[in-house]
Amino acid sequence: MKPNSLKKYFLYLLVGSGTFLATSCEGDNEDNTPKGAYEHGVFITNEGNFGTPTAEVSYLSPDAKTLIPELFKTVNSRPLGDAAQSLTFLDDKAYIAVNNSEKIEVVNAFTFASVGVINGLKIPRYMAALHSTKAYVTEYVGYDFFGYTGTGRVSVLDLTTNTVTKTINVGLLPEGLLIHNGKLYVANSAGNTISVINTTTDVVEATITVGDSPKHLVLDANNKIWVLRGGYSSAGALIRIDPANNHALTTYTFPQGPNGAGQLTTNGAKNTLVFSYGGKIYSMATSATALPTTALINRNPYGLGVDPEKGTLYFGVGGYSTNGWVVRYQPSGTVIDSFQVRILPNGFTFR
Amino acid sequence: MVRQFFLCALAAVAAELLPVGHSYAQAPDTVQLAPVTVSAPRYTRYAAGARVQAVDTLLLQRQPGITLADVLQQRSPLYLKSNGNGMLATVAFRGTSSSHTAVLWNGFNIALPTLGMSDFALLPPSANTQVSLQHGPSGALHGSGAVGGAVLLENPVSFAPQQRVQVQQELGSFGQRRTAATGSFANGRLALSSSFTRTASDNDFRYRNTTAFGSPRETLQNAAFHQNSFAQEIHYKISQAQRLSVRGWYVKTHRQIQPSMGSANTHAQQDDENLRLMSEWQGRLAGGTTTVRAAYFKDRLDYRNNASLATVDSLSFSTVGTYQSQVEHERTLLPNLMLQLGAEGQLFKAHVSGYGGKVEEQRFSTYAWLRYDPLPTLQLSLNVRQAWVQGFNPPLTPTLGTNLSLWQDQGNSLTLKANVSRSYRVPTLNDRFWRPGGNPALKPEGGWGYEGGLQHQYRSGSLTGSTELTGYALQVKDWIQWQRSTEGNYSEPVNLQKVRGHGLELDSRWHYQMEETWILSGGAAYAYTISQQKLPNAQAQLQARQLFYVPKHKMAAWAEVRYKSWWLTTDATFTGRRFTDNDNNHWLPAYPLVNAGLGKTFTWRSFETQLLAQVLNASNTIYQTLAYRAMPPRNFRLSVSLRWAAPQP
Repeated sequence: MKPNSLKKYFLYLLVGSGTFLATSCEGDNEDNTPKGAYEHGVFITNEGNFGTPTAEVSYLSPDAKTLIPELFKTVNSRPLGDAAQSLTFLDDKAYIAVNNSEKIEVVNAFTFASVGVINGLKIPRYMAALHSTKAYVTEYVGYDFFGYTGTGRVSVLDLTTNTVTKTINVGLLPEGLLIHNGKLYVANSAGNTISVINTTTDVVEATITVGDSPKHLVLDANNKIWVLRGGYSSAGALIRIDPANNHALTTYTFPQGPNGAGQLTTNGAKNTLVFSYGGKIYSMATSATALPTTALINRNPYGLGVDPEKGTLYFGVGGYSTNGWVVRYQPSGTVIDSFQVRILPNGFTFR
Repeated sequence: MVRQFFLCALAAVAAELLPVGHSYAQAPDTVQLAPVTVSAPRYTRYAAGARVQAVDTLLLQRQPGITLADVLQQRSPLYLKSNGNGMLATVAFRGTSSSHTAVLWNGFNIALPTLGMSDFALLPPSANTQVSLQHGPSGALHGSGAVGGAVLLENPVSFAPQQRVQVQQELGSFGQRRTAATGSFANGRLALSSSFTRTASDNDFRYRNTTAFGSPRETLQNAAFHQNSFAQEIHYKISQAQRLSVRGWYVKTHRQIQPSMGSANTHAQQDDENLRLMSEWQGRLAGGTTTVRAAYFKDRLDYRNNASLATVDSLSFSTVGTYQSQVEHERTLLPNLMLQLGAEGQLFKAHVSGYGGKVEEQRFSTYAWLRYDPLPTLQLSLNVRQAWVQGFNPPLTPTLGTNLSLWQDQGNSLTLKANVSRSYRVPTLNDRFWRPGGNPALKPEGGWGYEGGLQHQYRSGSLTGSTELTGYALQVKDWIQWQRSTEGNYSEPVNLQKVRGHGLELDSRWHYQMEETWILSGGAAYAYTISQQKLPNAQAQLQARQLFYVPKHKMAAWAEVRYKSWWLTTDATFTGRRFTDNDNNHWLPAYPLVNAGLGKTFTWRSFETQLLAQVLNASNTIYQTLAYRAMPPRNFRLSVSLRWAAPQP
């Protein structure tokens, strides 16, 4: 992007005092006592420069007036790690998967104070919780062109002890995952399948073939699973899986031709998909019978998020070694403002 | 990354003062260490107005096998950026980057053509190497890459009859061990010298991992290395007017690659093999001196890590063969006018896994260097170089410099120096041919440097000293930077930045001999460096920002006391705050570093034994030169060496 063209839209970086931050949150909670300075807001995962511990989480207050570019370091006085991939809230904790540090950092969900770490992982990417003490994490293992002969992995986490209790073999380079109706669905991005794991036995009980390079999964309001996949020799696709109907597939193939999968998310009501493919962002009702023909935004996001309450679209872009930027858009695609965060903003978590 | 004689490039006016430099370079350890006969480095007389500084060669003589990285850390105001002890180490001059530092070995650029820079941890010069630092751009003298400065390694030729053998063994903390053997022979017609060193370390020191939950103390993993180096020289005097020299330098290094704190240990390893061969014929013909040189280099760099789990390139193999030749002719046109004309050709043959095939590139350049002394107190040099590179042409790079003697009396001399110089840097082979991203149409970088300085020399009885103050301004255009491609998910090099800098350098060296028994010597060098590019701030306004890893302040000081056969040596550096990213979000705090050593020499007939005990990082400073790469805490080294020299007839 050309940040200077947006200069009048700026938020100020207010790395304010703790008191200021605490007061900024006073007005917006239901029970009167805030549980912490960062109970609500937008949490922006900045991947950082691979190979250096420059990953961070930036925090934007609910009124969008306070931005803390380095929330983790500000609170914990140490770097988060190398290559943050995702942030997952569960009850009173937040879990940050830091893939090249081979760890998940555990912080208090309200204060962001470090409370633990889960080690013993290989390239952790995304996490999904079954309940407050059990979760799953995909491990991005298996570049087969380097002669790797093993499988990809999903590890089972005990969140009471912060340990890995079991590792389940899935397809190569597993990425997105979600839990629905007691089953864990895992997108194997270097293959063409979704692994279905029984969360009682932690055994793979089915494999759904969806086509090249499935990457991200979301669940819509009608309990349908949507898969965004890429394509190496042919075009990628959006695929709807009906879990209630023997995993029946409906495939919407992109007209643009071969491309890597972009990002996939939903609005708060989970009745609209927002996704990127071929360098553009599209929006599509889950009830639609065809792919949208015109793009919502003609730009390629590194990270993409939709505020579940306001519908505001968050777009992350950035260099590999310099501060990245977040641009906010109205649901219609009109730019609201933009602000500087840290290196490679790749995801947004709303709370 | 990376990428540069003598006392001050002041051949004539300072001729009588040159011994000041020599007193450092060659102050004999004992009576038996015969002085090296110095043939003036070929650049010196054409470097009027430039700042060229000799580095204390005693370090290399006392500790054969020590790398240039260690030497420069202890004896220069340059900022040495290192991935860890024995790991990749790069040097930058005047706020530029490692790829703006040319490294020349006996006249040939030895930067890795793929990366366009030199790893100073892979350069253990042999004991008779003289190291000089050219501060500031010098494209006309040193060719591509001499944008910020140049490190010049020279092995001077001496036929003075002598026979010497030295063996040395050093042991140190964290599994540090070094073995060295050198020998030399000369009989007036033939001169031979051989040097072998082996250095290894386990590097398993303890450090606090400040990136991990609970900041635990950990033992450094995956940082062991070993390095063998062999250098051979043969010089033959064909006649009084002709000489033939052959030099070879082979360095083989195996390193585990120390991971960044907080990053996964992928058990990365790197194997480097650097073979450098050159021959040189020099003859006085037709009223001038003609020199013909040819060289062949083979550089192999193989990197691998835990392939199956890595998300980035986990294997990289590269071998580059470099063929170079130079022809030079120098003649005195008038008693006060000297001209050197030269031409050089380079051919690179690269087999690099990232290029998807063999790649060849040819480069040529011609140069003319003129030195004119219109008055006894005024020296001028005018140098130009024009390079031709396959596919595009760098600009004509001139240099104009002058020394003006302002004042001279019995003990003092004051000289004004000024220099304007243009520089260029040809894109590296990676910049041009890496797939994806490499761009054969990249423009070469270009720069201008302007500097002026004052030099004071003092010589009175047994006290000699030299002090130099230099101010400069520098700019580099079309600075090549790799950034995210607009086409896809990879990086590509672009001519992006414009960098402007200015600064001050102060250097002072003194030597005092009290009677026969006491010698005091010492020096200090300070650099104030501003080097900026414009980047958008949080309000999207362009703002000048200091380049990352360029300290505003760097100071190095060293002192040595010798009393009879004892000597005590110390050096200390202070390095200011360095930003670790170009947005200046993060920085490494300022730190001091202190080393000290105590030595004693025992002499018996033609034999001499030297004992040396050293403490490095004496203050146990926790520091990093590259963010999150742990550096060794206080550590110790002990060495013993045995020398034999044939009695002088």
